[in-house]
Amino acid sequence: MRLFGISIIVLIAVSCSPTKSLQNHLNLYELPIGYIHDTKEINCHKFDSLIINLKNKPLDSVLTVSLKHRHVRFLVFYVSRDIKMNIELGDDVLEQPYSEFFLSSLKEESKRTGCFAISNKAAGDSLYTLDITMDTCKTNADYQYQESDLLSYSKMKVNFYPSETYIHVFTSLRRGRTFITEKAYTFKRRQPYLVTQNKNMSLDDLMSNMVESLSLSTKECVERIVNDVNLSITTNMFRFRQK
Amino acid sequence: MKKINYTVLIFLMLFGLTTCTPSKYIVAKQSEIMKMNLDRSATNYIPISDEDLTKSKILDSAYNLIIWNRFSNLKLYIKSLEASKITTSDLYLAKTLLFIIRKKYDDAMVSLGNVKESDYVLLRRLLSIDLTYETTKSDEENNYNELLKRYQDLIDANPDNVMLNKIVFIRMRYLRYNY
Repeated sequence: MRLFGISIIVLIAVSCSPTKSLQNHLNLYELPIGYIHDTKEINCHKFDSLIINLKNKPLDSVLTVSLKHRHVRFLVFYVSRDIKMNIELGDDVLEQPYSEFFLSSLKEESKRTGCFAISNKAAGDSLYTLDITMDTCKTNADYQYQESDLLSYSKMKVNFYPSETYIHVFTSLRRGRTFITEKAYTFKRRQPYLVTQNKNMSLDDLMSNMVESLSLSTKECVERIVNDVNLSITTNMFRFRQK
Repeated sequence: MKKINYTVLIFLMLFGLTTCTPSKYIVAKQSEIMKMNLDRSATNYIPISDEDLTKSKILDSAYNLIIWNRFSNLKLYIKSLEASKITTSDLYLAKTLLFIIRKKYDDAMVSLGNVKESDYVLLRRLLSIDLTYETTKSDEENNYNELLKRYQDLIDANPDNVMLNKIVFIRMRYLRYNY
């Protein structure tokens, strides 16, 4: 009975180890996040000022690895293992906290294409305020390794799956206490790997792919928000003048 | 004896592998780059404008030798020009390209410094950032953000250049993936 108990504990410990060891390994990364702003700068009159409020912390603080499936087969001289894990990007592997990066990207994009100035003041009646709530911001990628041993012959194969980013954001624009518009955005992105010659894929590529996916989704998100704020402010300005 | 032969063979194989690794940079005409689909590309293109090729005989010859992989001939060609005391920007640019293809980035940086500031402005700026990355790649301190800013400034200075946008996008990936 005692032997049975010990073997159960050992089994649990062994079954947890692949995700734990991968997570420990990936937590050592510190990846730069960023992208090139390729929108053309617009020279429009910036009559109005906008305060940006990011209401929550969008990305999980810690990178996590979870087990998707684990198949182990034993025959007399043959052992095969097929383990698939899912990695979810966290703030701890990024050089800059994601919320900081999101805000700086939004400010930079506003400078380039926004028809409004960014203000650091506390909300006032003459100022627009954009409240941003990031409901979901996830970047996941699967990692699978298959291993088989037949006597002393062993074979191993690693599969890297492209990253997928899902961002769901709510924005609410108001002027002073007057509510102007509310919008919801959803962005989904599947980031393909590069076509590189003479190179085997590694965990470095997987992590870079994840960060690239998040960076480019953020780019898309930020550009859409600025574009919509432009439209709302312009429409509101005309409405205000007509009154 | 057999052991020594094997060692020599393995050494030659390893030597062959390291010397045959293709360059991360490919010289191409701007008009050709525009036709390419670079979505998943991992190649850094060095764009040579069609106009510059028509204007400069040296650059045109260098370009043709590069695309046919005649690097030794290009080296001899450059030497012959240097022997005849030619010190024009196109010669230094051709020399820079040769060094880049041969992965001698420090020498390429020196040669690029000899290209006049008023000549090949865009290409000179682009290569200067590329070479800064190549020469500081092994430094422990990550210069990703600094290089990102320099590429961003280059794009902002040429907002209508679609080709530049495309190739800088790949360069950003190159910095990120470090392949």
